[in-house]
Amino acid sequence: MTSPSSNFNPDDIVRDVLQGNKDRFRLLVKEYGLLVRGFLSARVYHLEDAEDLAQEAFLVAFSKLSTYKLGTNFRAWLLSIAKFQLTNHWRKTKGRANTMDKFRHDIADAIQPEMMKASNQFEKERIAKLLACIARLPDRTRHLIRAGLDGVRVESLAEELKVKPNAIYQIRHRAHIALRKCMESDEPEPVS
Amino acid sequence: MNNFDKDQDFLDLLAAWHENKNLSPTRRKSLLDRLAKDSALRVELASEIEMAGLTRAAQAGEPRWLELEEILEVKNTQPAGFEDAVMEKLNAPDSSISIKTFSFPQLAWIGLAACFIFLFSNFFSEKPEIRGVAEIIRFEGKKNSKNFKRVLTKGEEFSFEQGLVEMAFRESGVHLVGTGPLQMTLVGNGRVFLTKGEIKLVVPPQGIGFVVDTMERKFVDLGTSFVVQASSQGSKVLVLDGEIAVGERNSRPSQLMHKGSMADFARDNKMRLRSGKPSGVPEISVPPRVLRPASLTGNILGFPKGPSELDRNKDFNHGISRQLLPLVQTGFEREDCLQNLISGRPIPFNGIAGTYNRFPEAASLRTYDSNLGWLAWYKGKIKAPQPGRYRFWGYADNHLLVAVNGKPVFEGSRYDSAFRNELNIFRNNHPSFPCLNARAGFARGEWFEVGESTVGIDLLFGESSQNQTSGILLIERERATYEKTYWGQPKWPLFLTEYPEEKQLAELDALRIHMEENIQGSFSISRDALWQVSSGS
Repeated sequence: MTSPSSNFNPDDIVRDVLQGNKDRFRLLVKEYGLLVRGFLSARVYHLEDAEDLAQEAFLVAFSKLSTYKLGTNFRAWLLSIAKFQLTNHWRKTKGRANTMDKFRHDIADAIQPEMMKASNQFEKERIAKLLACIARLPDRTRHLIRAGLDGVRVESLAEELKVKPNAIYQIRHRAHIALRKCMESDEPEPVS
Repeated sequence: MNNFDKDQDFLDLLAAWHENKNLSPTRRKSLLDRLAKDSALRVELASEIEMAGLTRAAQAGEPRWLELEEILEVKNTQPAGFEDAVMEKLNAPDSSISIKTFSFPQLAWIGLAACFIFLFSNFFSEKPEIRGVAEIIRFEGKKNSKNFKRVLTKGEEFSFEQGLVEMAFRESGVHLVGTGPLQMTLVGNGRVFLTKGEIKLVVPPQGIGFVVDTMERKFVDLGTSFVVQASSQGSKVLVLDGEIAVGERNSRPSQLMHKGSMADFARDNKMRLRSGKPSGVPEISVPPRVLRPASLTGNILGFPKGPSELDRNKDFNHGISRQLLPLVQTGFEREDCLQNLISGRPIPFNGIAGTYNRFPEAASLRTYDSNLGWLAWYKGKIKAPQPGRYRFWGYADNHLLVAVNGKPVFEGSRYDSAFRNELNIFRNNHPSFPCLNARAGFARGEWFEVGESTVGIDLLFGESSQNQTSGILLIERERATYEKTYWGQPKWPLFLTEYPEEKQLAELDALRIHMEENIQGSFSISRDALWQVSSGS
């Protein structure tokens, strides 16, 4: 992952794309890709589904680019598309949802404003630091926050690490707090 | 500040969110009530969920978005190259901005110089150089047109009746060999439309993403060599090396085809995979037709073709595994959910190892709706080779589940199987133990204990849609010692109830060699690990 340009102006790129230089759209994908994928990965259980939805969001953004009002907030506009894709996804999968899926939807509804606020707090400069911060985590904690990616369930991880499942969430939560602090700092420090 | 990592409500909400933890209706209600009242909890939960999503996405690496790449006409899809190219463009001086800094006299001089160069070049050269898309390197045969050109431009149609043409695409370096009669259109630097004839493409890394369209399908190269043939009856593709993505012409490529795969696409939109080896996993022969008293017997199940409720709703994913959920949930007692299904002939259990592309046909399940998948259900009474604790290892694309005495002890299905998502069966993935085409590696189940007497077994294995099916099922006995691969994976024995015949042994050996050489995984076949059948169905 490369650091985003600090003076990145999406409006310039949007103008270029609208004038026919569609190749420049890749810059927007590059700049906001992780933001959109992160936003969706937080809300969709399977990472593969989140990646598909993220692609859909960028496809919609590309096709509807002319509706974006220059001078407003491109990031917010893009996230509103991602949110729309997500709502559509939930609507489509609702028929197949089991009780716990429905409970997850209820939780999402209850904390929707807070989630939007939390995703808005992830400034692009800080996101660029994330991987550096993850690399500074102790091995065991890094393994733990990576485990979900590899499909390892919490129960299995707890068995492997000889702790209770609750402890996994506790360690993860502490790691996330440490990562947030690390991302906010000017110089990433070792995370414990 | 609240200490949320010791707050059981917070931890339960996380468990429900991330792991589908089952909570009672009362508990769910109390959690939602607290969420409604406690703003600090809402903020902390939202931050935690957002952070988890971001770390997942960041660690997963950048995905390849084929549809987006195609729309943006990506010329070089290698991640590093793509990024470098983009950054290069971003950092390059913008000509429109630079011009603004020129003074008028400077512009006038530049204009004069440009005019002079233009006139000079036109005066001395008869024809300006054509900036084409592709260049013909060799042509042997009879040409259709008198205006046969060496350089082909964007949008140009190219055809000939007999012979052979060899051309190179200038930007991507894609090498194309076509045989006549041939008719195709060069849509762009990275795309051709083949109307008639046969073309073979060799695509170098910088040409990844090259697209061949036919009337029936769109083939997107993912770093490979492949042959496409088009005629009035339909089109065919053969993958010689690497892999390609295949899709409907106006939708995203959705199906991967790998080295050695060949498929026909008829004008009525039907696809017939003539031989497919997903991820290069060797194909295993279909089950033998002879049932023995010692065989564990199974039945293959599928949905009938026709206007069933499921058939009307084609976006209903993984119909067959969902259909059989009640069977598993009732300990394989209630079979009402099978009423609408059709079955093939009884089949003996021969282990699960490798690719099975012709399983339903071989088991006489011919008129089923392949879009909704199939499942083989093996049932019987078996006895362990010796008393003790055992556990299963394996994986299947798509569905794999084993139950002992009605209780599921292993679930090794793909990520989108209903068995995996809705049954909450204990499972641990081991990415360090590579397993066929599973990103998450071998899955394992929990230990279960068996004594001297027989136990009931129910084993479900199948496909969610179409026919690229693969799987493997191994078994480990507690405290037994197994030979290990160089990479440290124990070579657990294949779960079998009969020792394989010579032909099957040869196929399994080919699979073992494939796993050891290509993915550093392995398994073994042992007479000492055979489970004995006392009642086959």
